[in-house]
Amino acid sequence: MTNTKVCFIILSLFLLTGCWDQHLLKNTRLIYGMAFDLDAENKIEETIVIRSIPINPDTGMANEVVSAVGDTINDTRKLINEKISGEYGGSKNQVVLLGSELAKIDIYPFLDNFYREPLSPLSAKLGVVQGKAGDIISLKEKDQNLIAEYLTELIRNGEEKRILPIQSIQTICTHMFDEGKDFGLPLLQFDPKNRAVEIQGLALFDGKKYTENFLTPDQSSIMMLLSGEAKSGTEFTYKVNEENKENWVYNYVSFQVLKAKVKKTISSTSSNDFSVQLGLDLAIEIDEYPKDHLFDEAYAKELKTKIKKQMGEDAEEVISLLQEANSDVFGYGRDLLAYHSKQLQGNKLEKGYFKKLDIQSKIEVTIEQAGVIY
Amino acid sequence: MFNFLKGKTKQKKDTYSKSVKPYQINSIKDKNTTPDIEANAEFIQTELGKSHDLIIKPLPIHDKKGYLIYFETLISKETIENHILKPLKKLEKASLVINAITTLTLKESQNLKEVVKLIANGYCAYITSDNTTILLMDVKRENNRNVDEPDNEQVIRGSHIGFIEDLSSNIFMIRAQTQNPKLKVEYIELGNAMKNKIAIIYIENLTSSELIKEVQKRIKSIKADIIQTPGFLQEYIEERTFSPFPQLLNTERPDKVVANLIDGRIGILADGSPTALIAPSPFISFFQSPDDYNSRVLNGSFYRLIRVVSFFIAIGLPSFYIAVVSFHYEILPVELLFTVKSSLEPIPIPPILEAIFMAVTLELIREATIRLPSPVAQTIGVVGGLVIGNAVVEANLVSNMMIIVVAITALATFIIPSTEMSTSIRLLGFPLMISSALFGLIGIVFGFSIILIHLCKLNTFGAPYFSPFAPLRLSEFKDTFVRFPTWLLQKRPKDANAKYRTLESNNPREWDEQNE
Repeated sequence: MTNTKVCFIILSLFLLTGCWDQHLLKNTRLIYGMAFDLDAENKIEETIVIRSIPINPDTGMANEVVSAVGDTINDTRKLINEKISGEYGGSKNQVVLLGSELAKIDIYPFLDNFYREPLSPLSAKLGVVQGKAGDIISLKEKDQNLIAEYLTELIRNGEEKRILPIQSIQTICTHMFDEGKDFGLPLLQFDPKNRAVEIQGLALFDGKKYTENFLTPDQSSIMMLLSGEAKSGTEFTYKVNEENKENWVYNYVSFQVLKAKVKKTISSTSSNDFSVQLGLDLAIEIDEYPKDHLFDEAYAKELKTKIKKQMGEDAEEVISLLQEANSDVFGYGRDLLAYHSKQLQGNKLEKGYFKKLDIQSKIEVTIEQAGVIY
Repeated sequence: MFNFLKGKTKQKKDTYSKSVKPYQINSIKDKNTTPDIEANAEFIQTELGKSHDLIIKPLPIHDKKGYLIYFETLISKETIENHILKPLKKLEKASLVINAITTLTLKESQNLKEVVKLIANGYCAYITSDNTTILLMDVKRENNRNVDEPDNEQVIRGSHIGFIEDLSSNIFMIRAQTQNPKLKVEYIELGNAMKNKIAIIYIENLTSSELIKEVQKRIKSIKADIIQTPGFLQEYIEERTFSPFPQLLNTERPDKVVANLIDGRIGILADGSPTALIAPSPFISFFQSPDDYNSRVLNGSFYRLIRVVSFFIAIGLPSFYIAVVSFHYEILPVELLFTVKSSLEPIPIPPILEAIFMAVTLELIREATIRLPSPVAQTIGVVGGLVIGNAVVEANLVSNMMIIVVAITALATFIIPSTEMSTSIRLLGFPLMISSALFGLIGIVFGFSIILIHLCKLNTFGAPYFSPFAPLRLSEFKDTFVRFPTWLLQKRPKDANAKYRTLESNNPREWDEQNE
């Protein structure tokens, strides 16, 4: 008898907890992409795109764009919830775009909610938009592609081509608060005339702020090689000759990095004064070189030196750009803190330490493969 | 190539090939007949394990003592009547017995070992007091009734016979397959209002005596008016009747029974029913089929794995689906999510009701097809499967996804070879569905934990039901998720606690060793 009572009590405890946090898939409106912008009155404007399913599924998918202006993220979300039919389901969000005006101030407040909410999508891609981010989302469709899908594919493609570092909301979280390492986010450009969206490069960040400096895709590729993030697969095209005026294609060489090896040594000359020797060994494969004659060792050597020289120049330019922006994407600050903290004043990194670093890059190139005709 | 799998056993003393175990056919003592007829009869009786179906019929001829000895389950009564009894009744005083008998095969022997072996093989022995020579007549019965393959346990390769309703024919099938003189049959009559004969079958000197005693005790203690089929019997003797899991294996296949007897288990048969019960039956035995052993190792192992996977699908897929669409849709990949969402959009009822509705419909179709005569049953299958399935989706009562989930679940349950177990698993799906609808994935975890705890706690005739998983017996994993080649399955499973655990010599593939 007591047994049945105990069983009854335990079973009813399960049912009497009073909270049933069921959220049915069919009642949720799935947010697919969102953009944050700064309003004229310094309020936040959030634009979201919902992938809606028409009553007849054969007609395909459609997008619905909703935007609202509020004081905080949750405030705008509340307003958006009033405008959409069904529950706000943010857990499948694919991409978050930030307007450049807003990114210049501080991006953390717009991401804070993502880190707190257990259902939020931390694998979503981030991007900075030159101008107003909401405009891109409002496109709804880009050449038959739904806009959010188009954007994620665009960014993912850039990551695969080694133009952009692989990042998501999750990965940049630590970098935002890391004094010894900064990061860059994809910089997108919107051309309203042609309704075109393209990757302009990598927006450089200093801490949580967008520095307004950016690297072009080519520079970004070199940056990733120098930081050791890209180990292979980066592609370049260089002009190595001037001689051929009519057949200008003969002047160019296209190559691909097969293997990249970074070697860095940090030494300090005096207290708070550091220099970095950055060595980069590249093994490359020639993909396109109409002039050929690479079987001749002298020719090959000449080409190699030319590539090496131009790459060295490019690397120096990238480093100076980075230092100008004070964006320590290499994470040298971490090295300083970990291995050279004694030479640091007060065992702390000073502000703008990256600008003061003396970075010497040295690039070695070996042509390892030249294709089948070699 | 697979020598490493044999490992240390190679160094061990080969106890199997060096000695003869008392349960094996060759274990009968070599002995010649004595003039003492009683002693001869006694010897035969003991060597045949005093089995209850062994008949020693006094048959005096002209005041000389004589015994006719045979297994009633192996012989044909007609042959004995026409070719032995009739001529002997008419026998004149001067003529010899041997000349009167008219069976086709007639042998003489003075070796009792041979006599015992032949009796177990369907011969009938005649011993007289004045002669040390024993006459042996072949009176083995012909199987004159169709023994069809059981419909509920069909195999692709392997024997295609099944038990029938007649108890002695069933025992005949087992005896004819084993031909082991040590196979012992014990009859127990049960039922106060309706008598029924129950046979307990085991191999003497092999099966653990505690197990035999336990089974005897449980069966003998039944005081009831009616024990019609093993189904009644099962409920009287199994440990936990309210457990969803069957603790005795039901089978209608003689080959399955024989294989279990050789493993040291006990078979229980009842007159009037083609079903045999096997005690003890651990959980994994419900997932083993004779097909696994008849087909090649890789094929057998593959289907074993499929069955294990199907167990999890059958028990958990609908509840997992419910948990996903009502709590954790974020775990689905985006592309899949939209397919699911678009099929769910027009459905007015919550997923749990959808699932229960479809599962009940499925059970309706299943029951209907069993009850109806087979030509109509097919129509019902078509009506149920195609028409209802299609119409339900078109009417937006149930989503496409749920139809797929329920259909896969149904298929998965039918893959399990034992109907008892498959129904149990289907039944367990319902509480899991409810708990997942209430608590999501956590509910499923709770449900599975409760099932696991219950499985670990269950016993079947004193042996742990969930062995070899709990208690963990790694060496017995050779015959669970995958099936190792039979020459690597050297030990009997421990659950039956057989007196001898070695099944074969350390090196059953001796020719292979010699080639190396």
